[in-house]
Amino acid sequence: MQSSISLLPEQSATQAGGIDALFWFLTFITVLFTALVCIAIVYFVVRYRRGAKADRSNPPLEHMTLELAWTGIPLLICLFIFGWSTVLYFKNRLVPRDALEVYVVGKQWMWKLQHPEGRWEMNKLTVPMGRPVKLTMTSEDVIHSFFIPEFRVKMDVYPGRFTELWFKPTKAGTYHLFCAEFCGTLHSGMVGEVVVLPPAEYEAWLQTGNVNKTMASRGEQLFRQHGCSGCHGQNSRVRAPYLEGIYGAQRPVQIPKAGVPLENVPARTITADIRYIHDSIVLPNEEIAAGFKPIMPSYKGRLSEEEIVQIVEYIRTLKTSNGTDNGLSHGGIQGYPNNASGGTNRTNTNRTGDVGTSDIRARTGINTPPANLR
Amino acid sequence: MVSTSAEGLGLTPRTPVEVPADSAEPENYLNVTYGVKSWLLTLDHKRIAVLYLISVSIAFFLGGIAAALVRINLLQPQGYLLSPETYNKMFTAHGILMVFFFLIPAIPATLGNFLVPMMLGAKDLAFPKLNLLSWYLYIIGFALSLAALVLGGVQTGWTFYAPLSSQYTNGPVVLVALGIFIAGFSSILTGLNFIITIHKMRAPGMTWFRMPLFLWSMYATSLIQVLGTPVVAITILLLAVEIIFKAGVFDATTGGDPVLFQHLFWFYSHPAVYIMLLPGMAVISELITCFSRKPVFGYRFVAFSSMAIAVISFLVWGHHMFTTDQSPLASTVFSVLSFLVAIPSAVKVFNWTATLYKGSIRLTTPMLYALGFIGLFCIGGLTGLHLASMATDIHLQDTYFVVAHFHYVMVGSTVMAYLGGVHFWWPKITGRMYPEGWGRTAAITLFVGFSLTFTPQFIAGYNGMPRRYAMYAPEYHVMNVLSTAGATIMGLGYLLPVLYLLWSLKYGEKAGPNPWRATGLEWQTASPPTTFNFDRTPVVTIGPYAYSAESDEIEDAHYDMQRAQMEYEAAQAKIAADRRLSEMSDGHTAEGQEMIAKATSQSGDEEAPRGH
Repeated sequence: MQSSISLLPEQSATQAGGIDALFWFLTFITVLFTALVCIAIVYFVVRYRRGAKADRSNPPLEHMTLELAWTGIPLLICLFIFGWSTVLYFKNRLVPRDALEVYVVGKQWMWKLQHPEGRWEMNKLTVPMGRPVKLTMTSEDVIHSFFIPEFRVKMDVYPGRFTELWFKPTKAGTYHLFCAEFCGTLHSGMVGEVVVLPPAEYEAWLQTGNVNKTMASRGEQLFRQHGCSGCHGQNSRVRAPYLEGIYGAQRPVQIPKAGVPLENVPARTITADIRYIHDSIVLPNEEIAAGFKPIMPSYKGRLSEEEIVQIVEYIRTLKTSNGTDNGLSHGGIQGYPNNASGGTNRTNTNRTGDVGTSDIRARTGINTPPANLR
Repeated sequence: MVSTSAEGLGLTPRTPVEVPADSAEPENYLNVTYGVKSWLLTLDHKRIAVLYLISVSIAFFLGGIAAALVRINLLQPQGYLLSPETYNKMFTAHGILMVFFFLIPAIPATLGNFLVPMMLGAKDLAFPKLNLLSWYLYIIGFALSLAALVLGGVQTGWTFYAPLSSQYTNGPVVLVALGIFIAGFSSILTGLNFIITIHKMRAPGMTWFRMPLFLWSMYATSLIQVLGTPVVAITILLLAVEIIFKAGVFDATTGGDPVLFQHLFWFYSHPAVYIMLLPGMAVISELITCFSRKPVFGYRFVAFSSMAIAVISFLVWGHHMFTTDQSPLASTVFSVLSFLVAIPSAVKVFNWTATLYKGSIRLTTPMLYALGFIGLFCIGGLTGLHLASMATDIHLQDTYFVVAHFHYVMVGSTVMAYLGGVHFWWPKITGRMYPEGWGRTAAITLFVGFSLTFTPQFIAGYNGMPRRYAMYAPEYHVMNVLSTAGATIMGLGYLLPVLYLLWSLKYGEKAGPNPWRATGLEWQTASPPTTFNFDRTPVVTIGPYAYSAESDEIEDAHYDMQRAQMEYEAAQAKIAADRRLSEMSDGHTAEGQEMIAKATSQSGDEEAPRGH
């Protein structure tokens, strides 16, 4: 508990270096301009203080060139920093396609982290060194914000929607996990740690502890318990969309309008991502799979956010009978203005594939036929 | 130390004010009527300004107590004094009191109210009754929010983010918000009054470009107040509807959008930053020009930069939301606009600095505040770039870096300007000088205390300490102790002016109409002014800043010489008298010995008649 002074935060993820470089450049600009102004002030105050002998004749009252210079130069500097910062921001935002997935649920005042392989942690996130990790986050109650200062990453976490955050740890160690958005009485207690393990240790860690079931298999259990399979299953008599291969696919939906019969509402295409599946469970009548009747009941209040992501994870593992793997397109970037740009970015980042991916994929079931899981 | 006045700074008027000690004070706005009723029903803009001065000072004092408790609690990583719940209530109270009930009304409603008509050469604001109404709205809002904060307390932060403030809090959020809602109308009415007054009540010859820069900034501020404040009123109303009727505007579980609240809130609250800052800039322009005895350099650029700030400030709110799920495209636009809003501020700083060139600079208390403002505003403004740039903001958002940044702007800049302005116009408002030595001591104390308080917070923030934490990780301990130490010095710096300004009301030197030899219209009339400000409507023929450093230097040198001559003669006379006296008492002369002998013999004789 020694209170060592920390002046420089550790750089423990790939994003940190770039952000720090920009930070220090900005700080340099701050110090430089403040110093210039202060030196000028001190110089003028000494030179032109009352009673000091100095030439005060014909003081200039306006100087166009000077005005243009001190408007233009700061403007150019600002635009330069803006360019640098924006390029860096977009670079940092792209989630590599081979990222490990972890689901995060924030609630007053704790973090619950679920690994698809089945392990879950409270206020602690264990990740392997050198591999990108993508967090898909939601909140049970108020807005939280997931913040790891040593990685220079932060993202708000909302009730009723998913946000994403990714990082690639570069150093093994234990780091801070903070809630950065004020979330009530014990906000400052909503802290934890991020443990970065060398890959081998991480593999070992995954096998130990509370590995009872993968997230997907727990999701499957919920899928049956809550009767989802009764309609969405292969042999159901009710007409409901089949879910095999749905994850990540483009699907036509109808968004009901007041006063317009549903069959007259034109369909539009959306991506069946985690948001869509989540909303279809809690708000089933908002976006109706085109051609189906709006008969699904809402599961709001009957399933927790945690359980919903387990079901989503299960649905993601469902493949079409011919083995088309729609699951791979989950590495998209949420919040991009349109799907087209998201798609291009994905192709770009896909090149950052690295070794040691396949075994993890096998365990998460992404490449495994659903039969094996059942 | 206490008695130093403007003298010695070359600012004593050529002909000293001759006020016979026993004569009654001439009639002015303070002594024209007496009694509580005459104040509470006054329509005089100057009296309303004084009412505001008292009320915002109370808000500042209460907000300061909350800040002190917050800082004391942070002395220890696990919290020193308060439970997390009380801590949260305290920083919420601090934010709400300081932002809505001090910073927003501070300069416009006190100095602005007092000075706008005087600088224009008008008798009063365009709508005196509206002006009084706006004070009452402020007081009602203030009382309501304060009661709710003290009796119940809310844990929402001054930002009231939903759904924390709507579904998940059990404090009297609606009451606190209602107080802010009502006070908002006070702000709107003041803004409206200023805009109309500046348009319609300028004295003959007072063209737009002959107006002091103070008025340009006030005009820009008023525009933001009138256009921006209704949006926060709507936001608060929606929040109340959400809480009372569970309307589902911001509640995600019923299809509402929690991020919508942030958009609405910052649509007002970012421009509101400029409601707080622009009036500070207004004051600084006046102080710099008077105490460097020179017109403001680049008058038109300073004037238009105020307008540019007012316009762009409405288009940057999204920079508070880079870590939300706001679309990256929107973030990019908000980022570039936030960089742009920095430019007019930079232009002002450069023009103020250039004003000093070839000036005749006097480091009076107001000038110390003004120069301190420029330095601190540089840091406050430039660290804004760290937060306007998306990549770094991701890391710094919601940390102490942000806290330090906006305190540099709000306290280091606005409060410094406010105090500088209060000192500068104190002789006009009260008719008395404040003690100059104490004034300078307080200004320097505040500067030192402020820097020590907030510089460590930049470091803690960059190292990742989140804001609004009642308890924190031990590696931030040192920075927090430094910060609390600085806050203690700052507290002292705020206490001093309260004491000596009150003291000066009775014991301060009489100021006379124009103790600073300043050029504004407000200085062309008595101190304190009469109820209608001017004996006859002034006619304006020249620009606002008819200063000349060169001729002031010559006059001052001449004045100094006269003074020195007088002092020399007085000293000579004293030496001569002393010498005569000592020669007499030493008995060096025959005449003296005779006198001594006489005196001794008489003293014996005089004992007797005493009995009568």
